[in-house]
Amino acid sequence: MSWICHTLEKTLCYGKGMNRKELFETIYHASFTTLSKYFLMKTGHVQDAQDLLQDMYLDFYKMIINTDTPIENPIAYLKTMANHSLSKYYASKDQISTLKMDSDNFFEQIEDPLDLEISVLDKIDVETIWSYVEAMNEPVKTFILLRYRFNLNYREISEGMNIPESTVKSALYRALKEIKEKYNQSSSKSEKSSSSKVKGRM
Amino acid sequence: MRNVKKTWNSIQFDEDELLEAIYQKASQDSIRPQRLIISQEENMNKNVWKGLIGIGFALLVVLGLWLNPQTPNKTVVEEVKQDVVAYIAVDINPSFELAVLEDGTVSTITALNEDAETLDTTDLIGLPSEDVIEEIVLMATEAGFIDTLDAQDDYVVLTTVIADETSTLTYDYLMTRLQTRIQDNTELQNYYFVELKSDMVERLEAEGQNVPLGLYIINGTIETEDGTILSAKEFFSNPDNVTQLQSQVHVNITQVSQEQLTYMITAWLSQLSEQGIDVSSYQTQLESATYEALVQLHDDLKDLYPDLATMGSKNESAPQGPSENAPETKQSQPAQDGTPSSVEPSQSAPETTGTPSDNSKKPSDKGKSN
Repeated sequence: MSWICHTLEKTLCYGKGMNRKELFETIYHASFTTLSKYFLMKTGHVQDAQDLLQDMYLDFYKMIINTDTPIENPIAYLKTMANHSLSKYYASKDQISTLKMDSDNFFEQIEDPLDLEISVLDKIDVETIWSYVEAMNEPVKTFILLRYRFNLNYREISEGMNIPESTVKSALYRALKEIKEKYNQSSSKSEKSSSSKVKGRM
Repeated sequence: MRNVKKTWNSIQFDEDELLEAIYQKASQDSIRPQRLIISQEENMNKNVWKGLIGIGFALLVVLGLWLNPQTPNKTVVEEVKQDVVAYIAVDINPSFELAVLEDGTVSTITALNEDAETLDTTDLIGLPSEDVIEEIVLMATEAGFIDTLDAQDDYVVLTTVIADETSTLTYDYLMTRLQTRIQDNTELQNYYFVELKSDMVERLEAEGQNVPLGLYIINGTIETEDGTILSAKEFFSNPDNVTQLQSQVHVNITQVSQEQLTYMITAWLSQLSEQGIDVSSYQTQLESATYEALVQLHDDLKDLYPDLATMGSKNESAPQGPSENAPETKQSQPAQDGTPSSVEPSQSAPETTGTPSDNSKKPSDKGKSN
């Protein structure tokens, strides 16, 4: 069966004049962001989401290389593959990680983190931020990626992960605050050590 | 802030890095893109031919549409499948696949086996899916693929695949419409409708093995000695297979009408009586049975006398007596996901109770009520 012209999200015609690797890459780039967000939201775990995403695309690549069956709706097909991966993932987990927070502070009035976001993200480089984030628990890491890597707002994260919006907002606010404090501490430490070195020399 | 945000791409979920990792893993598994190993000259020649064939094909399609724009030619319909949001596989013994559009109408009907090819379904294209399913079942009956007058239970396996999950057309919507149609048409209540939900992966797997989707799923729940694929009738004639199916797959099986059940049980009791088996206690139960009691009696008899369900008609060879391993009563198991047991009357099952006036006759109401 030959690869015939199908539609991908009704805009992109693929398969015609493409070799299979090109076809895979076209679908990969068209679906990457959507599926990354999907895995992040459904697992609430950055590393697991990335592993599942990679394995799923690998299976999809093998399928495209090895079979002649045309896929009529690649996005729907990939979503189905994603759901299969997630079913296996859930089955392998004894319990899905849930956000653990102090219940007393759960519904506290949260300041709008926008100012804090600006002060953190504009002053601190991403590598440094991520070095602090890596030490944090899940699903806070997932919230941070969804918010700053995939530019989702609180409501979108809340709906996607089935978590109250106030929880998302609160967790992100605390994370940013922690990042800012850690950064300030390390800055002041490095300032002190450099000034003491200067004093020592004098 | 925007500039800073952009650099997040290189920290986690790096699109290019992940792609590279996929190719590395694939090469470790010795996966090579087949079409990359084509010489440039060969590739150019192919492209020229592809171009000419493409132009020729486009001209043919345009000419075909211009000459006869109203005819839903199957080849042309194949090319506009982008609007298809769901597929429904219908397995009786004729096996069909219906491609369903966003509005619930059927755009393509594909015959999946030789039996299906003998039925002309061209006129059904464009009708709502429940109309098409109804017509296919009635056509299959008329053509002799199903015989509601024999002593066998008649099953219609419907497997639904939602191809576009963003669509407003959902599995529940399609099944609710079908359930309503079954309630409205007494003739459809002579059949057990087995409703399965599947996905695109299983659909492709079934296609790869050249097995109709519904049969692929139900046969996947059991092991046959030589791996042969059982037809729906063969599969459902064994109560153990039904139990196995219900424990593994999300399935809903509609119940047949009270009249059909009564007819079936009467036919079975007649066969058993001819063998000299005392059926008086069953006949007593039958006379005063409610719908639920009929279902139980039907299932008990199938368990005790498995041959009853596989006999072509009551004139064929008599059953061989109770199975040695048959349990006293059938204990239907609910599915793991909480799916209701098939022996419980479904919502579509008639709720009328009481004694049928004439158990020996086939239900007379065979007309379509819609």
